[in-house]
Amino acid sequence: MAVSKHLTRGRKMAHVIAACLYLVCRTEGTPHMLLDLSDLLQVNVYVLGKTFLLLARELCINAPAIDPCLYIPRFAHLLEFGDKNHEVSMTALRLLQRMKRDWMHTGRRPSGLCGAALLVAARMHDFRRTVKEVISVVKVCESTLRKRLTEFEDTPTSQLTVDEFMKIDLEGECDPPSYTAGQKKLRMKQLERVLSKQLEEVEGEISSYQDAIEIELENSRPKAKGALASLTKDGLERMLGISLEAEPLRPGSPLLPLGMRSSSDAACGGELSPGCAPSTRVPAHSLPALAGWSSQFVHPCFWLGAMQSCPGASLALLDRDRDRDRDRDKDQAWGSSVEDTTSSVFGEEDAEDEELEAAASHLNKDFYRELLGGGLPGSSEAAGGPEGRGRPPALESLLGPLPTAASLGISDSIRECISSQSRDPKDACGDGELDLSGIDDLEIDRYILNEAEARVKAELWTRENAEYLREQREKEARIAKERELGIYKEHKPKKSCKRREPIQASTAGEAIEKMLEQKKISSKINYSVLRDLDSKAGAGLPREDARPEEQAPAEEQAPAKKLPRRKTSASRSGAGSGTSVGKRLRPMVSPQLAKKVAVGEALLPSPSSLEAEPGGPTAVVVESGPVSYHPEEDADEEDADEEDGEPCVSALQMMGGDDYGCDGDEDDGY
Amino acid sequence: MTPMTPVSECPGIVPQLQNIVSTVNLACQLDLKKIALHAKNAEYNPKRFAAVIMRIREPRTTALIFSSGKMVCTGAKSEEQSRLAARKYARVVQKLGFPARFLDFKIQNMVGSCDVRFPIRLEGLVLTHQQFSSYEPELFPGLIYRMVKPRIVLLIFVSGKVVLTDYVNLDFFIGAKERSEIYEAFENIYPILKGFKKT
Repeated sequence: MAVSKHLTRGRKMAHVIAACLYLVCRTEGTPHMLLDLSDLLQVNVYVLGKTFLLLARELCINAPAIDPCLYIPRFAHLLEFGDKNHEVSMTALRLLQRMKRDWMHTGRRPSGLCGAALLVAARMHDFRRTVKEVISVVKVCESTLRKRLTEFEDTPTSQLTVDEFMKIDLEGECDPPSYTAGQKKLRMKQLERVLSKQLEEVEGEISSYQDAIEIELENSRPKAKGALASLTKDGLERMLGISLEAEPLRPGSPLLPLGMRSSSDAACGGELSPGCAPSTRVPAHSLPALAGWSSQFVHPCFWLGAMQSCPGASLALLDRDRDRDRDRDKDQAWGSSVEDTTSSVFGEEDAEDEELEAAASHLNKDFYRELLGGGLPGSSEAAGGPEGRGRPPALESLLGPLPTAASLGISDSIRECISSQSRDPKDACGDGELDLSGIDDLEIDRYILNEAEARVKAELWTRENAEYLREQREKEARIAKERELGIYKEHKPKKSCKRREPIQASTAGEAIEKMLEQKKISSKINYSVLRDLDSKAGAGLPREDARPEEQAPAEEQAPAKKLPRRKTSASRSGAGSGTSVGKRLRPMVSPQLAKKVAVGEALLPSPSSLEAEPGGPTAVVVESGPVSYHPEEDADEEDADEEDGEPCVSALQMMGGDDYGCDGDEDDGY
Repeated sequence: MTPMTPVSECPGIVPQLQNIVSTVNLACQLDLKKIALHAKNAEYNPKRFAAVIMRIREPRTTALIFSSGKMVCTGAKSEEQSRLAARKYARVVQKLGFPARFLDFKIQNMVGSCDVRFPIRLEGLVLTHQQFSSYEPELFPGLIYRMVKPRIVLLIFVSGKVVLTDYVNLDFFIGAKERSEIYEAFENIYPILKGFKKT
């Protein structure tokens, strides 16, 4: 059926076969997993799954959903519980049913659930089965198993003792874990929104705080160590300028820290962003100090921008935090806490505006926390610095995917681009030509590099892609050379389709021989016997099992498979099956094959030396249509089939009388 | 052909558009290397993929620009934004010195998502609507529901989240081109989902 719907084209044979096999397994309810089949075939299970889904859909066969309970006996057996196998299985089944009632099984791999159930059941019966053993049997990941166990733990059933569990069945049902997680996230989001709103309300107090900060920073300045003290406000400015230029490639990447900390803080870890290093003008010895600020910090520009955009929020937070954090050990604690907050904030956030604001406020809070507290030399300078400078990059610009060109130190363009994010795109009405309405030219210009920048980028790009360019040049050179020599072939790497000529043979037997020679099939074929095929030497027919190209071993196992044999016998019976048939046979053969054979035959001046044995179920085969050929050949085929006494006969009968209405026309390309 | 229950509900839940994919033809041959080297937000890695990947910030989108002059624009959250973004990319290309035009702007795909806020019994759904649904927990945790009219594919998850799109696995590239189709599909599926609500 699959072939008749042309589903085998473009797909690996083995995949299609495995998919069909799995379909049967599902309808029968055998405990075979798609995973097993993919293991056998060594293909990605999702690829196989895709084929399987397609097949099921096209054939309108809906396999019943797999029940994890089906797998229990199989896995239990593998886990070797000995005498208590049955009991453990029963317990595991009961556990599974409980999981089902608790909505843990929807959308999950049944094997994972089984694994968890079996593990718990085993423990309940005093079997020490480690997680590793279970996962090797069940074929899920350890983390999956743990997750299932955790989810089960969350259900009220887990609180029961062993005996209670066996007797009682709790009434309540839980929500699926994904649903509860979703609800929790929603609530968190709402909380954050409320929080950010509250922060904005305190906007008015900013200026006073700003002054207070500046004063404090001034006070703490003298504490700066020698090396760092050399960094004046100007130095800071420059540094900020640098950091401005060397924008991060993505938020959260280790960046040039704003402030300067004492060298002891270098222990905090963190690295300089690579882009910063070359462009920095800060004295080298202070770099490690800078690095020590915090590895998780967002770009200072971000802080700047955030400060500008929601200064009120940040300072309000700042105020609260200041009180909180005053007594904390400034260096280490702040660093780490800030890291945590920052990373967590960044972990959750995406580019949605409200979340950005919340994130910004968080970060600002941290930033200020760091700034505050006198023990931070230089940080004061840093804080003092940014405030004055008004370069508010919008959050989106920094959090979005920034171009690599940024790391080249293109300060001007970046400054331009970040300064105006709020252009309202007017409504556009387009036509054939590019309608420029609503497009701000300035904005577009910002996306274009100037000469110097372009050169730098070109240099970098060439370096990056040097190998590729080299390959291209070589390829071109090669082509040019071949052109000269006149032997240049287009599309060399493509496999050349060998178009063999139809075999001219006077007897079917000869045809077979020639074909076999051409095809270079196994030497196990007894040619002499083949020659006698027309005289129906059924018994001695050599098994052409060894036809590698045409069969996958899996085929022969499935009773439901369409006639893998048929093809073989078809070619065997030769019916002059020309090269075309021999070469292009597909496993999912339908009665079409017979027609194909017939068509193949038509190509050849095949004589009717084959004794027509009109016996046998020929119903299937002959479709008068375009096929010019003779029932006899087909009959012969069938007989050959029958003589082989193989399961394919039953399949044949299965398909017998079933006319798929395929014409020879559909033998496309054959 | 969708089994419909004659209830008019949908209590104010409107699917949100998450992504729109559109294509446009710039109608001129492009030198990808030149574009990549002169544009700020452009990536070009010929070994890996034969197109320039350009991004703009407003509206936040990504475009794939091919040397034939065809361009794919993704990431916009509305049709108008997608069109605007595509025009901006075209303008950038124009400014880089190519005679770019703006032909055949077409929205190829729209993806929407929403939350019905109750857990859904997927097994039940696959039993009753088996000619439309396909649920394979081994492969994918959600149920794939292929609605016939409008021709939309919905991914339904047990947590109550629903993703509406027009193709899954790129089986066929036709489907939701209109926002109204997505809304319609959601209105069709909502009563069905309610029927499988977890009590």
